[in-house]
This record gives sequence, structure tokens and C-alpha cells, in this order.
Amino acid sequence: MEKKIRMLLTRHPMDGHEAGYNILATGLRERGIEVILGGAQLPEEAAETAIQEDVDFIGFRNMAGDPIYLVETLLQKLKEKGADIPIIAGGIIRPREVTKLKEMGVIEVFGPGTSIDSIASLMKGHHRE
Amino acid sequence: MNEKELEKIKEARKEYDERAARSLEKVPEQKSEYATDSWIPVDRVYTPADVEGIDYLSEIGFPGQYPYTRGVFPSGYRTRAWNRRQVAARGTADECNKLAKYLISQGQTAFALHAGTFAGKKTSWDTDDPLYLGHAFRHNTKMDTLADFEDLYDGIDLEKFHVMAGLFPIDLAMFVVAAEKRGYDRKTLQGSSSAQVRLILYPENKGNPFIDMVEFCADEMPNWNAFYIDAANIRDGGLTAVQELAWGIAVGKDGIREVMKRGIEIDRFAPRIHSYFRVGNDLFEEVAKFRALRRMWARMMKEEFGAKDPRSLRMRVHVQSLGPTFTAQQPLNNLVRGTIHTLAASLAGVQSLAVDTYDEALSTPSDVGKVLSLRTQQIVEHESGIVNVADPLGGSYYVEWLTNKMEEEAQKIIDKLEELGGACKIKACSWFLPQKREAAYKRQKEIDSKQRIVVGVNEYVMDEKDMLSTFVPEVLDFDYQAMYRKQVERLDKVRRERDNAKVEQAKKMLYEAFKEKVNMMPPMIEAVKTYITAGEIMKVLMEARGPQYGPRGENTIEKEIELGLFNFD
Repeated sequence: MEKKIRMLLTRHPMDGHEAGYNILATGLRERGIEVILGGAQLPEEAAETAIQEDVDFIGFRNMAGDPIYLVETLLQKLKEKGADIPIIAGGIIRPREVTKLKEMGVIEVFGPGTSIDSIASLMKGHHRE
Repeated sequence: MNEKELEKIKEARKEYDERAARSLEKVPEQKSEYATDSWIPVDRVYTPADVEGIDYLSEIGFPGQYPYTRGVFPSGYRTRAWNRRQVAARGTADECNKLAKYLISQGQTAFALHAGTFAGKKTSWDTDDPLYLGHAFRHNTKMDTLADFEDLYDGIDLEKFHVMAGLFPIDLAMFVVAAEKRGYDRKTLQGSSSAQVRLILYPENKGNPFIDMVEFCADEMPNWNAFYIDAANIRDGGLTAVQELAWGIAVGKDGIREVMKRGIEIDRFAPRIHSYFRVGNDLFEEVAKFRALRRMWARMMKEEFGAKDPRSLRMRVHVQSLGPTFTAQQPLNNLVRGTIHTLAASLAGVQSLAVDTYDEALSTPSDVGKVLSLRTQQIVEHESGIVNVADPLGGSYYVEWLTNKMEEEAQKIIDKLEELGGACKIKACSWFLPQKREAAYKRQKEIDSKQRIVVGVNEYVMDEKDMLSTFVPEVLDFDYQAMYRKQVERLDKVRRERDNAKVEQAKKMLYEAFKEKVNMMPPMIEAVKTYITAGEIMKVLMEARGPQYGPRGENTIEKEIELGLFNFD
């Protein structure tokens, strides 16, 4: 049997409003992905959970934070701990920041209105590679 | 209407239904089921027969009269329109002050400043804590000491503008001192604190910061809304309007009981209870929701709590657009959605309104967006005629039927929350709050399958190139990191320049007061005069009372929040 894809879904403690976060968690689980809810975490805490839980992806959800700074910190913390886990970002992220995040190595950035199917299939596709 | 007339209507209705059925054989209706946004099934038309059981005087009545279904003030909006209260905050306190003044110049009449020490967000450390890196000042104003509160409200008339800021007693203490330094009397200060959640975070009655604040305001600040019911933020998580209505009332009910347990009599604090709700796109359901809210609240206050002061029976509401209804796609369309929200809120007779900005699904709201939201409100107020007549939709068969239906459905949820010990208790929360996830997901599935059309998202879609050429919002470019550095410097300066011996004394005084669990407001008001920081106060509180009083303490409820069971934003 194929191993289930595991994903950590995380957001910053200062970031409220969680409709998208909730929808995504339920939707991805329904599509066979094991979702670990990190909840409100600092980048360092997210890195730690991701490693402990041995996830295949980190889903970083942003509303009001600075995705560049937060993802940069997350990447750095992962690197310090010797981990290389692909990051998917989503939420309210400005066009200019989307470009920058991709340059930094984020595999995809999903904005509001994205279908859950497209997120799930991206992960499944990426996972098989 | 007499029975004979009703019989006639019922007969005619049967005939109408048969005719309608025949015509539907030729041209069917577009959907197999019709329902409100909360999934309440609705009929194709409503008649006097659907509202025959209603007793006008006891259930609907007149504006400004019990049970307040038609509004809390006798003259509706004629004496005063709703407050235009756009949410605003960015940068440091002095920057936020400039923004506030700009909005006043454009016709803002009250404030919802997203500015504070953020104790309510389990994050009340000082700005130099790494927690705030990458977050603070981008769309909020993080404050640390009295000096920031002085900057934030500088030059703003605090007797004229109703202020809603600060979630925790620390913020109120700093606000009061800043105002008194400018010569205001705390008895005339008007505004609101939002601290309902504290009831859950601190289950203990004695020493509960929320109850301390309510008690203090009852005596010292008669125009301050210390008891604030927040149903809005969890509606954002996905709840339906019915669930939001039920939660607002149930939380208020349980909160009132907790306050009364301390021996504070109902009419001492209930006149200053007010609430915060969302307004979504289903106009009729939203109007019915607020009408039901006022009636249910008034009855509960009178019958259950024995309130006698008429002001205790009136539920005043601040309302804001339901954020998730705004789309990132074709963002200018959100101006139309904001107009629906303004119409629904004003037709419902609310006291205060914030319309979300059209660009907020893309970025921190721009100034253009904020002004357009103000203009939306101003156009509806001055040009639509809505302010002429109180509760203009009252008496509509549909709206009266739906008001009753919302009440009935909400009551079932309230009963269940009560059965589980009350809405502020963990047991009730753990049953109720996961439902927002279910509702949000159900809605998303309807969008995916196009059962629910969201213009520009799953229908009438434009490709990105068209979208960008026709709908380009102004993306706010704001150097929040510079603001962060500025605030850290400001905090350093305050710490250097204040009399640190006095701060140490204040800490000792606070420690004793926290230990004894006397009302924490008066000692805190004394303490903040020394420019002690919010983070320092929190540390003393935790030393005196334990980590569960800390914003990121290790109590189990915090753990529950981390697990996603709770979100109090």
C-alpha cells in the first residue's frame, strides 16, 4: 500500500481568522492526505513539529503576516536542523511576494478561491516525483 | 386579521400552489431546493397565514419598546444614524493616529483601532519579543506603554468619538490614564473593550480580569462598554448566521451569570453590554437575525435575569462585513458586496458598522479602500431613504416568518450549550466550535460543485490577464519593518527615560494586589503611570498567579487552542 502523504498545516500565533485553514484541513483529509494541525506556531515551532512528525510537506497559511520573513525564518530553522521539507504557502499574499516566495523555493503559492483538488493533486504529483 | 379572512387566504394559497405546480411542469425552477445562507429551507412566497400566530404588540411592538424587535431607539436612525466605524490600524501608534485623523476627515464617526498590547491574543509581550517579528505593524499597531496610548489618541476628541480598542484590562488602564492626563473625566469616556474570552481562559471568578473590568466600569466608567459579546470572529471561522446568533446570546448569558456570581447586580452592568456580529450576503436572513437577537436578548434579560432598567434590555450591536464573502478575484466586485452588507445592517437597525474594504482579500486594506467603504455607508445613509423609517422590513410576511424561524433554530443551539454547562465552559465549546469547520467545509463543497455561485470565483470567471487589466487594486506598500524597528527604539527610550525605581515599586504593588486578588483595575491604573510595559505587567501577573494567567502560559486551555479547537481572534 502506498504511504499516505503527511502534511503539517501551520499559521502564526498573531494570525487570526481561520475559515480557510479549517476548510483546507478537512478537504485535504477527505482527499487522503494526513493533515497535522500545527495551529498557531512561530516558525521555529513549526520547523520542530514538521521534523518530529516527519511530514512530507509544510503548508504555511498567511493572512496578516509577512510571508517572506516568516517563510525565510522557517526555511532557516529547517536548515539548522538539517531538514529539507517542501513548503506550500497560501492565503493573502501579494503578487510581488508570490514571485519572491517561489524564488526562495516554495513549491507553490495558493491564493483565495483555490480549489482543494488542485492543492491535493499538486502534492500527490510532487510526491511521486 | 380575523379567522375568516385567514381561511380565505389559506384556500387561495392552495389554489396558488396547484397553479404554480402546473406551470412548473412546463418551466421548472432553477434549483431543486431553496434555502437561506444558513440552510434554512424557504418557501417560494409568504402570506399572512405564515405569520398568523404572531401577537403584534408582545412580539414585534414599537421601536425603542420591549421586546425591541424593531430597534432599540424610539426614532430609529432619525435622531442619529449608525456609527461609521471602519477598522483601522497600521504602523506605530503615532502612524495609526495619523490614519485615524485622516478617516475622521473623511467622515468616520467611531473607531475600531486594531491597536493594543494584544494581551487578548495570548501575546502580550513587549514588542522586542521575537513573536512580533514578521507580523506586528503590518496591519495592526502593537503598543507597549502609556506613551503609545498617548500617541495613539493624541488630538482625538474622546468625548465625541466612541473608541473600541484594547482587549485586556491593561489596555483599558493605559487608555484611562492617557485620557485623564489630557483632562478627561473617566466618567464621560465612551468606548468598548472586548474581553469576553477571558471568562474561559480564567475559570476562576475571584481575580478574573474580565469580571474585574466589568465591576470597575460599572462604578467608575458608566459610559464604557466593558461587557462585550463577540460572536463575529467565530462566524468568520465558518459558522452560519443562526449559529452566530445562538453563540452570541449563549456566551452573553453564561458571562452574565459569572459576573453576577461576584455579587454584582444585573442592572449595575447590563446597560453597558453590547455585541459584535457579522453581516453576510443573505440580506433577509441578516435582517431577521438582528431582529431576533434584540427580541431574544430583551426577553432573556427581563424574564431570566430580572433586569428592570430598560437599558439592560436593549442589545446594541456593532457589525462588520463577513470577510470570507469578499473575493480575491475581480476585487472591485467587493464594493457591491459591501453595499449589500451596508443595506442589510442598516435595514436591521444596527448601531455601528464597518464595511470591509474591497481589496482586503489581496493585501492590507488601502486608504482608497477604506474611504470607499466609508462612502458606501454615507451613500446608503444619505441617498437611499433607509434612515427615514424605523425597521422598514418589519411586517414583511417573509421577514417576520424568518425572524421567528431564526429564533427557533438558535434557541435549540442555546439549549444544548446550556445543557453542557454554558457557552463559556470547555465542554460546551468543544461541542460547538468544531461545527464552524463543518459549516465552512459544507459551503466550500457547494462552491466546488457550483450549487453555490460566487461571482468571479466559480462563475463569470475572467482570466488573470483580463482581471489585472480591469480590476487592479492599489496594493499598499508599507514598510512595516521600519515601523517595527521604530517601536523597538521607542520602547528602549521609554525604558531608559522613565524612573525605574518607581517601576520597581509599581511591580511590588501589583504583585501584592494580584496575589490578594483584589480588583486589578485600580492598582493597574496606578502602575501604568510609571510607564511600566504591558509585558512587565504580564510577567508580574504570572509570578503572582501562575502560568495560566500568562498570554502564552502552559495551561490546558492554551493547549486546546494550539490544537485548533479554539480560536478567539
